[in-house]
Amino acid sequence: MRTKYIPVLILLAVLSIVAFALPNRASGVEYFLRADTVVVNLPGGVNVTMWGFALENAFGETSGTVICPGPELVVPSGDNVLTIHLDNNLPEVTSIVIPGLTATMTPVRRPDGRVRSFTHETPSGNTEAVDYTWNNVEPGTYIYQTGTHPGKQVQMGLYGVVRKSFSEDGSGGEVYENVDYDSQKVIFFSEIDPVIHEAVANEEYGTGLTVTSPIGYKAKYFLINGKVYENGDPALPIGGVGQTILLRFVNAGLKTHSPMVNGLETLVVAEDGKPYKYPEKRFSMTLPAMKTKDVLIAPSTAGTYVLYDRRLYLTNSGSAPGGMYLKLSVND
Amino acid sequence: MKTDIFKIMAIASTFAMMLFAPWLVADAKINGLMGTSFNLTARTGTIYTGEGNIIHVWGYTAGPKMQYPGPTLILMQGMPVTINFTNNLPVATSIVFPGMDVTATGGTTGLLTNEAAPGGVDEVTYTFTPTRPGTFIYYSGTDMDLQVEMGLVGAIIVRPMGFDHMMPETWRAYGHDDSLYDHEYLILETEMDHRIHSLVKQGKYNEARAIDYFPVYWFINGRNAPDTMLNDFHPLFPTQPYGGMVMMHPGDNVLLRIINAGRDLHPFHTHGNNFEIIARDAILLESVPGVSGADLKVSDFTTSVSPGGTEDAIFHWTGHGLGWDMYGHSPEDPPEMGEDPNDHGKPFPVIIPEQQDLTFGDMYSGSPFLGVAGDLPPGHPGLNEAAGFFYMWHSHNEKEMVNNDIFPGGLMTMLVVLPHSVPIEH
Amino acid sequence: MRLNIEIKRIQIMKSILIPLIILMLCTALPAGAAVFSQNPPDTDGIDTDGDGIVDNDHIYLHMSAGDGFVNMADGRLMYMFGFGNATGIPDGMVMMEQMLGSEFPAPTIKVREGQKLYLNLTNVGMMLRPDLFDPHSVHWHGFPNAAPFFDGVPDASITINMMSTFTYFYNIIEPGTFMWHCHVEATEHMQMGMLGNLYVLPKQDMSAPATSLSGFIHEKGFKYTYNDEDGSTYYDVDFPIQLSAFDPDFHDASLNVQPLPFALMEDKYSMINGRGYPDTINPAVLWNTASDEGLMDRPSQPVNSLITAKQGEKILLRFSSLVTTHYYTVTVLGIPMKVIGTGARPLISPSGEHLFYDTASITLGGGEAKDIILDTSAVEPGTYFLYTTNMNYLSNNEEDFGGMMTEIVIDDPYPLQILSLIYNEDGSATLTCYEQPGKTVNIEWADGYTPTPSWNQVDNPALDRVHHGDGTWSWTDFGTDPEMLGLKPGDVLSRSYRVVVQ
Repeated sequence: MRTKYIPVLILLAVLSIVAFALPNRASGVEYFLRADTVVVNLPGGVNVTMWGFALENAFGETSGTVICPGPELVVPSGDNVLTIHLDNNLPEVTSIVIPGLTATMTPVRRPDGRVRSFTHETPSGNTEAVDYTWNNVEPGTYIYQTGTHPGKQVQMGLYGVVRKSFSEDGSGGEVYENVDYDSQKVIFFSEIDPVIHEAVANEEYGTGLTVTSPIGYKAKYFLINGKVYENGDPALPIGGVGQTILLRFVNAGLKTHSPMVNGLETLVVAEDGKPYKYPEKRFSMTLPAMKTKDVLIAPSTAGTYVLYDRRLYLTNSGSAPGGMYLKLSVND
Repeated sequence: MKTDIFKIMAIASTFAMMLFAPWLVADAKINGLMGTSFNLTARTGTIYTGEGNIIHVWGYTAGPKMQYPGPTLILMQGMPVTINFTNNLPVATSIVFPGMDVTATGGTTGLLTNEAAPGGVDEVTYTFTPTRPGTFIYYSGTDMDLQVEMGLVGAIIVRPMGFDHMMPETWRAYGHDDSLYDHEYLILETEMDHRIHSLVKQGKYNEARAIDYFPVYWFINGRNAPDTMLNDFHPLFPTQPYGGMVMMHPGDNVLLRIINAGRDLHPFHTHGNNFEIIARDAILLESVPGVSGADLKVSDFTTSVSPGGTEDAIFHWTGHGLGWDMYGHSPEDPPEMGEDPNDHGKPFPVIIPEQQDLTFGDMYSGSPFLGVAGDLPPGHPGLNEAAGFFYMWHSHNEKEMVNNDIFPGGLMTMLVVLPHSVPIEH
Repeated sequence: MRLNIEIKRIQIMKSILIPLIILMLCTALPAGAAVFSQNPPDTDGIDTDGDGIVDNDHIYLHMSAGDGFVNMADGRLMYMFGFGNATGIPDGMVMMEQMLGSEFPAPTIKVREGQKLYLNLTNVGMMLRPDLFDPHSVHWHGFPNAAPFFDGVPDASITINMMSTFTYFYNIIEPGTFMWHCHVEATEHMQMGMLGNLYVLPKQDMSAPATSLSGFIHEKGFKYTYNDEDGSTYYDVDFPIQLSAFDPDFHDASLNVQPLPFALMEDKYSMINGRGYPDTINPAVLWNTASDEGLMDRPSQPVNSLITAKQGEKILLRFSSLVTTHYYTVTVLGIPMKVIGTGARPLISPSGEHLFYDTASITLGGGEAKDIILDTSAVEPGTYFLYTTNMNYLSNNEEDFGGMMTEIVIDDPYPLQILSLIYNEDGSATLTCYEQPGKTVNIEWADGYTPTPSWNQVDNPALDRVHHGDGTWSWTDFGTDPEMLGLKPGDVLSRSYRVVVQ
């Protein structure tokens, strides 16, 4: 009796499983996103080429405005499944991942064996939508982001927020079970280093080119909800006196930020879509890169409250006030 | 070779400092201003860095001279506080008090709060009532990226109801016995990029802001090591009144009020033992507020306080479980107070190499045992005559243990565990 | 100026470096210096580590401290200070064997609660920096109730000079994830690489089989992170994950005897267990290319960080950071992270309540440690990624697609593969596979071993299978070609098989 393994045989089946692992079914909530280029105007006449997303009604429409951060994707309370149909108008492949959610990942590697994309890719100029599906979207606040060449593509602006509440009731609801709010706002932190954007726009990013890696990253612009602060900016209405207001803090910058709201304390109820057993009452906090935190505030006085980054990224490349200030208005 | 010369200079300066005022005269308490009404002024001035540099700084003070950090305000829970604020800086400035419900009057309206105009021409009054005890912070609410960097920061301590400085049994940080302590110390962390200070001194504010922030000085209570180990109000540091030396006896509970007044995080590491974080931002870590005590406390050996935030931690050290008698006793010797009975009389476990094979630390007593000094080589400074146990407490982002290009320094101080025979005065 | 120094250095190395340095060491130091390790036997007659044996509780390690080289993931050769493992090398040979024997990270120290560790440290000197006479030390970072004598802080204790040995003693009474490093000239020696993993296994691992831990039944071989008393820190596989980073300018300045840029220190190589991606997933021991400097190549990076587990297993990641400049935030994409411990203590309240929390990332400054459990029971088999979300550090300096990242491979516990193929004496062949509950599995065969085989499905695939009841089944091929009725031995010998899920 002889025993023999035939190695050729063994790989077979694994490959055939992979082929079946990407269900092309569309249930739950669906969004059509187009990844595309957009030029963002910053103070001082600075124009920065960014990559962002536009919301469309169907694949191939080339409709909607390309924005950065991308469109807010809301998963209704009753839904567990989120599908993003991606159209890629960028000059290179891209993909979408969501930290904090589980999904079957099918990484794509470069010829040298290093990972290029954490999951399956959407080719540039694809003629059919490539689908990204999450079957287990729990209530919370998440970041969707590119899963391809993240050292470059995340900086370029390929990120946005996914949010879901445990229950909804008009403008309020429960963000998590028994965690009530009356109104909510996403507060999205991001950064821009114009040098890298210029290199990418001029096809000067890559091996042997002007910028070969993101190691020289030096952010100059610090944004909240896609905008740097400038004198005279209007306040963002967030709710009224006596209300519990949910602020969904999201950081897609590469640095840690420390949001504080002048004159208010916050109740931190969750991070990365995972509720805390014991919410933390704080006046300071850290919001590291790619983290989300859900906080509740309950102003007892109407007026304008200023949210700012206690890491003190409060300039626009040297002019002040700027950067990560945001005025919040609370009405009577 | 330049490096090594610097090293020698740094070590020499450590020697010199320690000889001037060894830890024995350091303060085992938190100095500050007590009361309900304070007159604070923002002023310009200079500070000395650990390696002898001079930096242009803005600070809050209650006196004629700038100080860094500002005066530690020691308040009583429930007692209303009034702060009359004037400004001698070249630009408008203000104060914010996170965690307090502040009413500001006078001056002009700024982005965050009322601001005092430069030149002392007006006065802003901030009033608030600290409704809960704990460790708080204050800092400039104007043009913060420059003004916090320039030094406009300070600590606030709110004593709980029933606290009496004369009665150690009332020494609690919060209303619960889980916060009882024998000694309390302030660890206020900051950092500085001295290029910004030079530009500000020249009035080049926008140039200062445009710098890629890259600090090269790190502070505890406004001083760099080794100056942190000198006592409060040391004459060498007329604008940096607060030291950072920590002292205790075996078995004591030490309350650390750690404040991150800077903009970066600093991983503060205690050699010797873990500490237990009992509060963050002046909220006791408890499952049922006001009832359960610090049952959500977290034990750690390194902590990173959020910028603009505070933590209270209890450090406790007994020397139990070492597996050898830390007093060097023979089995027949009487035990020390609080000694681990399992280790009493147990022999020292290893043979110590010959003197010529060793480098002797300045704070080594000559023996491994607490309270027992031993032989030291000629030329040793003999800074530890009481044979205390010294532990380095420092930022573990080790780069922050230098003063500009000079090691050692930065965000570092020492704990000394003293034998019970050496008293610690409050 | 700088150029001259470099030329001089290389000339020295290519000629008589080693004998010269030894000569210098010998003349620079007093005659008394000698390597002397202390390994006293365990004679107390008490079993302190819970394994039932009374005379094996002493653990002896011998580490060397000196200099050496490692290569970064982009191939760049980097001068370093480091520790090497001299355990088992006779004292008289430690100097010769261990000079330039630095490893990065330092050898992992893995011990058990109840053991007594005698850690001998021999300072073998910095061969390429004969101008330096630095002592070295061991700091067990986080050791509870430490005594300064064995704490490694040079100011507060004594430290060992070149060619001599200091023996550290640790009575290990607490489990947890710690770390160790040299504390002499801490900023310099740590940036230069004198740091490593250190963790202590809990006594609870040694519980008697069938012991009930608050209802959780312990079995032999079960492993826990802490003495949790309820099995809540159980894990199947554990991996130390130590973050570190190098500033190449600092290392080059050290090698070239230039002023050290403390103020300008800025890390450009972000690493996990001493390697940048993709070296992190290379299972091999990595050798340095010190021959570029006229020296001998040596194995210098033995630790990879490829994390593997079977679906359903609990992975314990023992995170620590000994980065000297800044914080890193680290995520595991696609697998839930549960923080169960911090600072070598479990997140369990005094009353026994679990304060564990779920997250998608953790942030570590230097000297911080966290224990993370990855529960893979709801995770599809596949490859996942652990990486820093400070994504500018997904680079090996100027090289892209690198830095602080590694891979996590979750294997199917019952993979769809042919476990064995046996040719029977009657000419038939029997293949054995794992059961695939809920899936239809077909068997296919092809003739020969061609690159593009023509696969034929076996008729009635579910028939004739023998289910063994241990999670496997077998099927025997008696030849499916009608022409081959009347089997002879070897008739199916040239067939290839595969199993396919339909």
